[in-house]
Formats: sequence, structure tokens, C-alpha cells
Amino acid sequence: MKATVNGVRIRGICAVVPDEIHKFADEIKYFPFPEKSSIRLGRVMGFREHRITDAATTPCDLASYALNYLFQNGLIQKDNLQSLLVVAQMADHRVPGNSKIVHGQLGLPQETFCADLYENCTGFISGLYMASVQVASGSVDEVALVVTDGGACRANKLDRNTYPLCGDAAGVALVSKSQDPEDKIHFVFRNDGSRKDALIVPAGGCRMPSTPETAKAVRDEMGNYRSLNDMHMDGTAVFQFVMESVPPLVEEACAYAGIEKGNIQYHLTHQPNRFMLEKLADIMEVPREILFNNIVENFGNSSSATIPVNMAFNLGRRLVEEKPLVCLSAFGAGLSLAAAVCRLGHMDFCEMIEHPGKGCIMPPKQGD
Amino acid sequence: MEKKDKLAILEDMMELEKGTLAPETELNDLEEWDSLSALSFVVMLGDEFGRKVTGQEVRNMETVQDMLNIMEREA
Repeated sequence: MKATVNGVRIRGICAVVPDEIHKFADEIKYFPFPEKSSIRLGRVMGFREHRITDAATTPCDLASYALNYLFQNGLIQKDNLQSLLVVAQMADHRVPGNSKIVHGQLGLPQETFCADLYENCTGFISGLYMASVQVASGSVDEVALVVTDGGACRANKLDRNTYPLCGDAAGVALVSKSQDPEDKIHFVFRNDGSRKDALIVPAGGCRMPSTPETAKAVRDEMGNYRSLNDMHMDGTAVFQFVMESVPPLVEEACAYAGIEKGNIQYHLTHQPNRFMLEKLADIMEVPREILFNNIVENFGNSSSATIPVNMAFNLGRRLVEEKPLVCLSAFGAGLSLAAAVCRLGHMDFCEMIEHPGKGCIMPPKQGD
Repeated sequence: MEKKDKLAILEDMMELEKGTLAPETELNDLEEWDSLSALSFVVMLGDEFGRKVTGQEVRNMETVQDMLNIMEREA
């Protein structure tokens, strides 16, 4: 699907990451492989350190903490929050949805529209599309789009295929109405559900409820241990999918937006690992400096939250002072693909904060 | 390309000393045969030989000869 949504912009970005830093060098001892092999893997993939929440902190806690920070600093008015859209693949509870939990944690007005979107790595762009359409419909002036990923990483430390690259984070994007004719977003989405097995958690849903049996870890052909409750990734299939599908997707998004690919100032992609992103930049014939690849080595891969983390960490104030032409792109479970081309910037804020753990939802007041 | 050149590519890929690999070498006996080497093999096949391979084929490989067979097969 392709769509252009007119009269919308991102007014601000706030990314939140746990303050707990886990270093790859300290984790090597858990992996069922020789140390030399893990060091080599870390060097190539860019595994250095990642942020993982403590056991008391949930996806909703990360989200509420970031929103409270914005309320405290007068960047959104709580009483005027019209719409909250929470995108996640992990939930605080089976029932009710994350958006209702966040609503209750924050004490939002009863009039606030709250909805949840279950999405994986393409979640920021899918959420941005849904929020943009809601704004463009004229029913609301602004949507607080929250992407959050927490708890997924407390997974299996014996699986070197997935554990060292994962990270927890959340991001808030305020998607707002704009009168500027330059403010529009061009979206392209692609899905291939026939390739679902390339990236899947087999057990835990209705198809295969989790049982003591599905929790048993089994050694795979390469020597990793994982259970049916853990993420299964066919690294070869995912790698080939990204290399074959993302470059034409970006070309298509640029053509649809009526711009030359060479005019894109930054490619803000989802962040799986450094190796894949370096290869992707090369295949796309884009300088590696404008297709950032450093989020996994600093924070880990937080699924739908990597794009706001990427924006805040690599561009930050630049997205307040300037308004570059950017291409967002993401790819992941499904398998799915998403891209968005827009001018991004002149924001009210674009920053990153740290979450102190222990399920905290309230940042310290300034001066505390 | 001769077999010895292909073996040299595989040795280079796994950061092994020259002359370490023979066609009958069992991959499970190599400490260097790991998920990174597997991914490097997939990338090298595409870049150098224009070949595609599935994850299952990579996981099914048992010896260096299995790798050579994939490198030598029709594109």
C-alpha cells in the first residue's frame, strides 16, 4: 500500500531507555560458545552494550515515564491529550490493553481516545501512519504515538542469536496537525505473511499455548539453546529479505514522494545490527554516515522503538533547529516492510531520557 | 576458480590459518564455524559467486565439501 497524508508533522520526540547498562563483554560467559567466537561476533555485529529493564519495569512503565516527563516540562498538556496510540509487541496484561494501563497510570482525562496497535519492528511507521490519518481526518489536532518495548530482553541468555542484540526502550512522537504545505508524509508498506516462520515466537499464543513442555530449551544446529517460548530467527532468511527488499522499497518511496533518493539527508532505519546496516547502506549506494548504524551497540534493538531512539540519539537538537528531508524505513517479523519519506524537524523537542528502573512512572521534578 | 582458491576464501572468511581446511573437514570440529561464519558464507556466496542459499541449507552443511558444492553449483 502507498499513501500520502497531508497536513501532519511530528512536533516532538522523546525516547526513553533504561539506565541499566549490560555489557556484551560481561555476557560472553553465558553463551555456549568459545570466547574467541563471541568476541569476533561482537566486533562484526557491533555488540558492545545494551539497555535492559529490571524485572519490575514494564512497557507501560517506560511509556508513562516518558509521557510524565513531557507533562512536567510543559511539552504536552495532560488535560488536552485527545488521543493516545500505543504500539507494542509486549503487553503489561493480556487484558486490558497497554493504552488503558498507561491511561490509568497517568490519570488521563476520560475523554482521551486510547487504542493499541500490536506491531513488531515496523511499528513506528505503522503507528505514524495510523496517527497521521487520525489527525488528517480532522477529528483530533494531535496524537501521542507511543512505541514501547520492554521485558522482551529478559529472554534467553543462552541464545547468542538474539540475546546480545536486544534492548528495551520506548519512544513518544507527537503527531500534530500542520498548516504548512511542506508537512506531509509519504508512506509505503509491504507484507509477506508466507514468510512468518523467519522471525517467530512459536508458543504463548492461541496456536500453541505455553506449557512446561514449550518452556524447555533445546540446542539448535549452531549450538544455541532456545525454547518454543523464545524468539526464533532464521538469520539467513531475514538477512536476504532485508538486502533484497529494503533497497527497492526506499527507491519506491522516494519515487512516490517525487524526490531523488540522493536528496535524502538521513536514512533513519530500524536497527537490527551494525553489520546488516553497513551492507544495506552499500547496496543502497548511500553513504554509511547518513544511514546510522550505532543504536544496537549503544542501546540494543528495541523493535518498534529503534527509530525514535535513532532520531533522539543521532540527530537530537538538529531536529529542533533544522528540518532535513529524511527516509524512515523498517523491516521485521511478518515479514513486513515500511518506509516513510518526509521533512522532519523544527520540532519543539527531540531528546532522550533515562528510566531509573523499579517500575517508576514519575521522573524527578526539576530541582529535586 | 580452483578448489584451493575456494578453500582459501573459506579460510579467510573464518579467520583460519592457510591450509587448515580440506574438503573432508567436519564443520562441527571447527571452533570457528559459528553463526557469524554461516552469515559470512551467505554474504560471500552472494557477493563473490552470485549464488543464493537458504538458512536450512546452511544448517544442513556438515563438511567443507558441502560448502564447496554450494559454491560450485549453477547460479
